[in-house]
Amino acid sequence: MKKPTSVLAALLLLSSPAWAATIPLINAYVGITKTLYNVVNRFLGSTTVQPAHALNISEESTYGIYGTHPDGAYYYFGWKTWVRRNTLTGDFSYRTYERDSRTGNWVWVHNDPFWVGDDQGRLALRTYTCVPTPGAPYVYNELESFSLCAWAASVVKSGTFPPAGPFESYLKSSVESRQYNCADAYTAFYGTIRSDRIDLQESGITYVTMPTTQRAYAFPMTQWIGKWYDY
Amino acid sequence: MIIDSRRPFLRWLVLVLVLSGAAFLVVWRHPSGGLPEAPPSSLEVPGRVGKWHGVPPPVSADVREPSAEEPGAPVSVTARFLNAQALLSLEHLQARLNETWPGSATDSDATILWSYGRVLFLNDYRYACRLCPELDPQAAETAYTNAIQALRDPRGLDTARRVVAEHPGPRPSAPMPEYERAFQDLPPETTAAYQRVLDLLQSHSPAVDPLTTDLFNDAVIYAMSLTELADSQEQIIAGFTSMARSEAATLEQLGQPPPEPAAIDPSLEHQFDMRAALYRDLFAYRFTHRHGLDGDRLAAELAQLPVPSTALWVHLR
Repeated sequence: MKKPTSVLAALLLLSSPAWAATIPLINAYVGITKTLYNVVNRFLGSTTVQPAHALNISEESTYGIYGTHPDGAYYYFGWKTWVRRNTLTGDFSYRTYERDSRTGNWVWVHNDPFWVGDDQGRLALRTYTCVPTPGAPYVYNELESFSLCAWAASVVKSGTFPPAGPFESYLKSSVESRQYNCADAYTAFYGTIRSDRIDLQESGITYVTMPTTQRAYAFPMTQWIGKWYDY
Repeated sequence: MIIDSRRPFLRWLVLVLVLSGAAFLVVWRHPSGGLPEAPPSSLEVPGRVGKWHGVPPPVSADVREPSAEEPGAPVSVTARFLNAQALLSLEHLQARLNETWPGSATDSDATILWSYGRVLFLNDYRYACRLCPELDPQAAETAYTNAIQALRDPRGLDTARRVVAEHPGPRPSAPMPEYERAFQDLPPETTAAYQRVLDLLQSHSPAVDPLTTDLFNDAVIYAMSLTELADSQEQIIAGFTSMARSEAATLEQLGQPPPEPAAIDPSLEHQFDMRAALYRDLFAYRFTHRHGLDGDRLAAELAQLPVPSTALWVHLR
């Protein structure tokens, strides 16, 4: 019997003029709260940071040994590309090297620009070695690595006590696995990998290396200022 | 029904105070004012072949006096002098590149060196804007385009040389607010690098404060560029060494004899030396012809000071 009484009391209360008079009061309190919040917020100030990132360094190498000359020396093969961003201008320096098949020396070819990453522009962290015939002098290697640079493209401050740097930031990328075996067959899986915490300074550059190897990372990545769980 | 209106009011008052306190804490602790920043849709990502188009901060009143001149008004003697110096520095770089660069037309290192000319010219123009209210800071790129055109006209270059030669005093001082921040709240290695550069500059010009002109800016950019170049060279050599080691280890596991140690391609070192020489020449010219210092000696000594490439705090924008 207690329950119907309570329901009746609630209905009476909600339908009473007293409750009707309380609603504007609540609105007024909410309004005051918002106003106070805004006043405090505006007084303390805020810092709006626009983050940016770019490729810093990328290296790709394919090299190995594909047989033996009658004099006992190995036959070598290999090519290597290297890219690095210039801090002042934002331009990239490119290098291409090839390997001499008889001496194994690496020889510079040119500094001309080339396409970086795979056909989709993805950058990989990867090491791969294959020895197709154990015991035979045939070795095939692939190496890929890259690092990124992140900075605050703009920092706009307002108010009396705007927060100062460094600003917590993260990069996140869609990835595909890159775990081949010698037959080049592999099971691809897809996912998302987030960088470790990046402390962006108000000026200057922070270098970033993504945490997991044997992955191809989509580039450019998602970047934000805030906590790791924000995006 | 009697309603005691004071009690709910007190309850709401307490709630308002609590909420205000919470809002205060959120704003205080969150670096972006309690809200996450704009996500990647507004990212400025230069990409693999893009350029860093840094957003220039607005020129504040303490940096540059409000322009009292009408657009199109004749420029002052100081503006003519500073712009002439900027043009001659650009001409010097172009002449040296045309003389010495043997690479192809698409050589990425040559692209970077041409870009140095552009970035330094823009720095020079913005420095002039701080002293000459008749110059428009927003017109820096236009000024650079005009300078490139002027380089093709011998009369324009002759005029620039005459303006510089006839100017009575040294390079005038301008407000440099970047320097105030350059030594504050930085990573220790950055502050230490700046201090080393500053000490060296002071030893070269004890009577002049290096922080009153763009001398410090030039010196940091030069030392940083050489550090970055040396890092690149080391990194490439380390990559070759690492590959050789891993190959030898694999062969050893296979029971095969190790390969002959590979020599480092001499052209690798030569290329880096050539680029370093061009940096040295470019900045020695600026140290000598702008700041009245022994540019060659200063450049040689600055080349010994490591300045990490993360330390781009003093760059004029």
